[in-house]
Amino acid sequence: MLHSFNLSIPEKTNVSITGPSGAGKTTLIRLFNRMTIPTTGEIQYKNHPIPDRDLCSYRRKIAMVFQEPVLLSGTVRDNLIMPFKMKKWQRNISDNQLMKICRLCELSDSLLNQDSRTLSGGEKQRLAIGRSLLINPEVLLMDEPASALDIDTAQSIMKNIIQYFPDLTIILVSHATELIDYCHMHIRIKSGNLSIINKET
Amino acid sequence: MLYYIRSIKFDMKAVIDIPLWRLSLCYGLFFFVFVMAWWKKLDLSRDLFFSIGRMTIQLTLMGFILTEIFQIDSWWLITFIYLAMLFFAVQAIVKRSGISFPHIYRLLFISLLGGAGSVFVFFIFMIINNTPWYDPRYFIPLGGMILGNSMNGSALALERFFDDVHVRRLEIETMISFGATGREAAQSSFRKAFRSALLPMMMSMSGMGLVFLPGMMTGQILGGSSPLVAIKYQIAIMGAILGSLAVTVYMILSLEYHQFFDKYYLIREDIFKLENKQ
Repeated sequence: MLHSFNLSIPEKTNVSITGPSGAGKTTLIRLFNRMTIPTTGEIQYKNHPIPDRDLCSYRRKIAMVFQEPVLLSGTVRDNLIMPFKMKKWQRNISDNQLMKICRLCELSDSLLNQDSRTLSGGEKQRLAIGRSLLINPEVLLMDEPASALDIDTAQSIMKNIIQYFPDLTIILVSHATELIDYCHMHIRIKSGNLSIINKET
Repeated sequence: MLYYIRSIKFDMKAVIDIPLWRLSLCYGLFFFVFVMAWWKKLDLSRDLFFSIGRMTIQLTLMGFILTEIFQIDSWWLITFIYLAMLFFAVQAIVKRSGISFPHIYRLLFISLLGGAGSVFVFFIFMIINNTPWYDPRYFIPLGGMILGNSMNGSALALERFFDDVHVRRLEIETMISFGATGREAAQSSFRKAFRSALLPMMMSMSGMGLVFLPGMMTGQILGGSSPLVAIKYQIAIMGAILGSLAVTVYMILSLEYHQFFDKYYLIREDIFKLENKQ
């Protein structure tokens, strides 16, 4: 449970969230794309409250990489294009785009036609990150993205994301200092209370 | 000429009633099974005794009740009896599927009324077209058959959809985080449940006539109808059963879906009794 808090995140500000397990890091990150609904209070996005009516369009702008990557049965390609199978967001994704995303996530593009069940834990996580980036989000939420990756790979993926998506705001739950170094704002949760530190100040 | 009769045929035979003493021989068969169960230590003796007893009592009562019902000449009373049957069907479905969530009774009652009920109305007026339409000899057994056969599939669909959404909830959550509506995210579970409801009935339809003769047809033939009339009834009732099943299951799944997701398209954890996530 999180106690009452105020928080404002400027655009293009990468945020890290840390805290002991069970402190509410996942709850906090899920609040941003409304996969968890706060008991009280309001969340504004670009100076407007998040609309309940067109929640799908809002969620589409906020990509989320869950702690445990959830893949659908099928190939790596099937998983990457899953977000474009929905009626509202139907679009063809070229192989070129898929390959570019794979490279960005340090994923060999020879895996594209492989059954997603045969992937290793790290590959699954990179696939989940790639899938989230493919929808070209405005905000990227990542819940422990480095948990199944070695730190060098995680770092170079992070570097790639920042390089290729300069307008993206990244909100990150992680304890890896190498990733936290890319953030401008740090939130630490302890027994339901948030403490916010801005690196710049 | 008073009469001129030309090649008429009359081969309607009266049904042979089974005298009670011969029927009691049948209990010899039950006794035989009973002895076998005891001999091979199947641990079934008690259950067997009760199931034979229940069947005897229930059918005897039904025989008397149906005799009474068939005398009824009142459309509202017959309709009321049908609605009571519908209510019992709802209860049986809930019991068989073994799941529960808020409003499940209301949901099933509406679905059965909209599916089995409306198909039955079509069947009675358009296909049977008997006068009076509420003639209990047709209304009650046919209505019961359509309801009864919609029951199995409904219970199956209800349960499958619930279980599959539960199992796939993380997948569903992921799709919703990508901007899917709840309906889109649950679509593959919806399809799976719908298929599982229709398949057994389709299997039995393709085996019909070759592997077995349906009970209603057997009954009609024993009752003296021509097999050609009996198959017409059978085909008609199969159409009604399948149609009723499809509409009922579609309504159940659509209404059930609304119970599973809240207005934010999030899976309602209270229904699936999930623990709160951190």
